[in-house]
Amino acid sequence: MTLTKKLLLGGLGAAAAFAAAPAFAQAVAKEYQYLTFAVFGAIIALTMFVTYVAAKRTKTVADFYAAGGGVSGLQNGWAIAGDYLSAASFLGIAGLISLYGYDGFMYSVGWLVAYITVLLVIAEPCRNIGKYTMGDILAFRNNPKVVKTFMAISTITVSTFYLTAQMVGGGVLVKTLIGIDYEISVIAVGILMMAYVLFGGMVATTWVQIIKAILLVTASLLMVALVWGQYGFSLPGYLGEVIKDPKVQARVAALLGDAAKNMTPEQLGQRYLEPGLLFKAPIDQISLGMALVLGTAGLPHILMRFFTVPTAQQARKSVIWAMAIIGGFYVLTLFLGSGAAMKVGPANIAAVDAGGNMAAPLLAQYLGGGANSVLGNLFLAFVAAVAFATIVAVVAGLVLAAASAMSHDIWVGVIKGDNATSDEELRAARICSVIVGAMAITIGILAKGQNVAHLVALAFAVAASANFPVVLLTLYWKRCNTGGVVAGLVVGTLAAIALVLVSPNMTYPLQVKAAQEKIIKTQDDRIAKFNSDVQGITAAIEAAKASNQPLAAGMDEAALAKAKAGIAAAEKTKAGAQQKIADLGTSTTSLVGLEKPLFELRNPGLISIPLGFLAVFLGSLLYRDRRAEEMWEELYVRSNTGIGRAAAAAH
Amino acid sequence: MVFAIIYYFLLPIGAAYFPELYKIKVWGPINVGLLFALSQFIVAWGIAWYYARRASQFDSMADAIARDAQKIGGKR
Repeated sequence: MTLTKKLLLGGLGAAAAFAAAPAFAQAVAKEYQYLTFAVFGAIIALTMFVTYVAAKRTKTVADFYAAGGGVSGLQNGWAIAGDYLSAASFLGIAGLISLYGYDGFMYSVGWLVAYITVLLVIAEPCRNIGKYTMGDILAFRNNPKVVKTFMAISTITVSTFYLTAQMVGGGVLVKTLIGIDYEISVIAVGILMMAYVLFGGMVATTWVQIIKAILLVTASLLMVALVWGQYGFSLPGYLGEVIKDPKVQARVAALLGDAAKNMTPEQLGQRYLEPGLLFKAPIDQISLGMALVLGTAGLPHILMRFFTVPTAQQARKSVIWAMAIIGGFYVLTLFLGSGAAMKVGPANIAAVDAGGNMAAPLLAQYLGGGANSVLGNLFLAFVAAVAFATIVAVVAGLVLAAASAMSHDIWVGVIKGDNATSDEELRAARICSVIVGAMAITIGILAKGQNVAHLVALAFAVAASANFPVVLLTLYWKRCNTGGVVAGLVVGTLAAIALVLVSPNMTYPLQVKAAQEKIIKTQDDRIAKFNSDVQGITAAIEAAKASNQPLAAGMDEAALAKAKAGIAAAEKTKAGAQQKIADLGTSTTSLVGLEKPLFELRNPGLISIPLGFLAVFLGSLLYRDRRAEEMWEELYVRSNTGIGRAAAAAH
Repeated sequence: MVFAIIYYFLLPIGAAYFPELYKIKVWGPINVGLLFALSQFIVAWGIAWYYARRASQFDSMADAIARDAQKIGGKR
């Protein structure tokens, strides 16, 4: 099979999401599947070996939740990078760059800048104040049972949103990459993740993250060296070739539509490096930026990583390493994305996966020698296996965060009143991991075919609007107290969720219908025009035959065939639109009963973050809590010096 | 922190309201917008490096306080 043909088949398979012919819904041809399984097997075996070693070291509850505090700054830096470079950022951003050029790269910047917040305000105090969970940080000077309950609920909420997006995204990805069924992919991801978490706890999760991050960076460096090296590692030279590529120029022309008519190919190519191909509403992007920059510092699975290092200095060092790795990686994605656009072509990438997620794997296949070479498929299999490991590792981190909130905050902190032995708590933590893991698999299967992309944005929005304000103000505002923490968590979480429920992220049947009807109308017009063309050309051909004249240019059989093909294509588009209207059924309102969005922002951060902060302020001022103020000085000293923090377990 | 956030938000705001500025070519096909986006990485790393240097000075102060606290017999 040729590359294009295979891509088309892959695209058809991916589009017909539940097609029963998995053989076509994949990027690797059947005859090379053994390579995929071999590489997947090798990477899974490596992580399993690590889990086996880790399991022998996981004896106490501190080992399970926080790897006994025995992780070094450098190791933790790689692990944070591993947690953060989820499939969404690895495959997603490379895809966005390949499809939208500059705007995709601009999108990646916020993910790194977010770490400035983590470094400057969160990492060190968290390590000094907290023990295993975010609830521990809040409980230091507030009513422990109350704040732990609310913080645990918020942790589980954020982790579940993130988890759902990862499970569904992972299921689709594995299905596209190696062609196994969606349900089996989800269950495989779930079982592997449970094995890491249950047996190896935080030690195994940390090492799986480190291995995965190293593999990811290695694969990316290799690909960038191959694609950039051809142009002598010259940045202008390389980008100059990218924008000279007709596939890139065609993509820009398609995105711009009518506006592209008067542009030369050079202008079209240069446009790829200019803003505005993806983001049309700047306010939306600013709102997303706020959620990223403040939300990262409120993500439970990221904060949890700071409990694994022995000192605040190591916590700081780990953020610095993480920033170097994450930032360096995002610079590499510029080359991965633009390289895939030039070598594979945006149209071919979008044909396999509309979101562009296959840009990096397809580039790997190309660089290794193409779809029909052993090396190409080996390289593709390697990148696919790294992507798979990425999903499993990120899911493991999330499950651990949610399970520790459930067992450490709710069961031990609230129900047992902090009276549980290490063995009891370890057992509780494992039981909670099984519960959360089973929940993740169930949700993953139930959410099959749903659009879950906005769930990651929602997780960041809740983290930024609820978790971040309460942690920040508990650490830095003397008057903050239990009333403020509860108000902030409740208002922040509900505001973010409510605003998303009434935002354009939801499906609005009437709007979909109107858009599809417009498509049908355009296609009807095109069909009518082509029909009149067909009549005109047929008449001209007959007239020419009758008078024995040669056929005029543009009025011959070729033109006739072209017009007929145009009719067929328009009919097909029209049928697709009609199908979409039929799919809507009789519903006229969104999930919450709205005909059109009440709130125009896709990301609620711009409104819900200030609301969260306001709630903490008001709640703290209206509620009197002597303990919170008395504890302030102790907290201040401890967050800055670490005095009183339990010494790390020796390993 | 404030500088980092303002610098970051200038990027999308600039892209939205001053696209012409971003389109000025500087080095071959490389334009102002691309350089500005790349500079975000440099600035973020610069801030991190500067903070790490300053913080290591505070480390020794914190250690001294912690030692003193232990001497007077404060909590562990």
